[in-house]
Amino acid sequence: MLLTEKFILLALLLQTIEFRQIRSVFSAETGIWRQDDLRLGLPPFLRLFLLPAQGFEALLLFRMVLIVLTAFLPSAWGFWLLFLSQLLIQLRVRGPFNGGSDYLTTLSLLCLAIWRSFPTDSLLSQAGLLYLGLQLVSSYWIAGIAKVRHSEWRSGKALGLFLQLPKYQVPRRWHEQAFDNSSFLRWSTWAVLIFELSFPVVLLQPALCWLFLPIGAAFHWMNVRIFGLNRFFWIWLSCYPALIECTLWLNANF
Amino acid sequence: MRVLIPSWKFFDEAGHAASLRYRIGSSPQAWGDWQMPPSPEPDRGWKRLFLNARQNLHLAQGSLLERLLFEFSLSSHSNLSALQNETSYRLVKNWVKFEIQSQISAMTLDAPAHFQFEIQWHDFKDSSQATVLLSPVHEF
Repeated sequence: MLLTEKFILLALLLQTIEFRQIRSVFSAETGIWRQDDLRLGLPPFLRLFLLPAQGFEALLLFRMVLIVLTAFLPSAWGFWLLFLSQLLIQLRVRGPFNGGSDYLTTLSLLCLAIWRSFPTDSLLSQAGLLYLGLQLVSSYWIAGIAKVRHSEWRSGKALGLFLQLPKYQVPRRWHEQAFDNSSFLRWSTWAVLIFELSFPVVLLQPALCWLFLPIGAAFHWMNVRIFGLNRFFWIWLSCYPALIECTLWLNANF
Repeated sequence: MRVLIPSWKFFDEAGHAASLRYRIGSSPQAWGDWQMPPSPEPDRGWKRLFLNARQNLHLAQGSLLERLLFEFSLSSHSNLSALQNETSYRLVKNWVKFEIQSQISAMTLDAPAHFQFEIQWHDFKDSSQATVLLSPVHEF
């Protein structure tokens, strides 16, 4: 978990720097996510925690300092505060900013805080480790199940459609070189589906991590190159050490 | 609770996307052309592995559209006036104003009197597109 801690802190630092780079969108007068508009959809209790623009900027700065401090002096308090800061950010941006990466970030911080809060060999501490590992496995397996049910994914057509989406701005030459080739799309799709659907086997045999985790890293790297999903790369790879510990624990105890 | 039990259904449905267009005018009778918010310059360099703020913002903005359309689909189509008071609508409206303000700041535009936006739905399977939401005219 120690490696997971360090990597997650790096992932958090990068996310926080990114929020600071786009902080104008949180401005009260000219921004997009304005506090006054966000308040409307919130129950009164949660409005208390909705930060104004200046407060949000202060939170980002505080979080950067806390990340560095926690990297050198890891503690349960540090991770609980980081978890709370993550909740405040999620509230301020009205939920996940970038989908699944935010969910796993929040979940990872919670599991790390729990792991740090109790003696290492205690059941509760191990629960934090196990839950993170199992959720990581689920993230691949459920994603695979969700895709394989659709004939468009099984034929490779869905991948082609995603690559056409304007929001990803995939270069035209990549389409000409590979992405317009239906065989390429079909083989690529099935490579991803097989990887995702078979991922749970790592729980049965820790040595399989040596096969699946490099493939996973390559998969997330390709998602950065093609779709720009850098946050997914850092947060998923951050959890890989925790997954290895999880599989070792499961095999030692069952 | 979603924090504890996330839904990991990534990319399960393919082939469609929402896009935003807006137009500005000195009066409701004098409109400029429909235009789209600028997309971030695609940076394929290694740096975007570490920091990719503009692209992540772009993706988050897309999520704003999807959420607005989802809430619009739940409401009556004639009830756009009620939808205007919803947070989702206000955030998209803020996005349009943000883009217009950016153009004003870059001195590529004079401050307009009014603006209007629409959300289009693109289906890449049959290459079709349709306007699914047209806002009323708003003062800038």
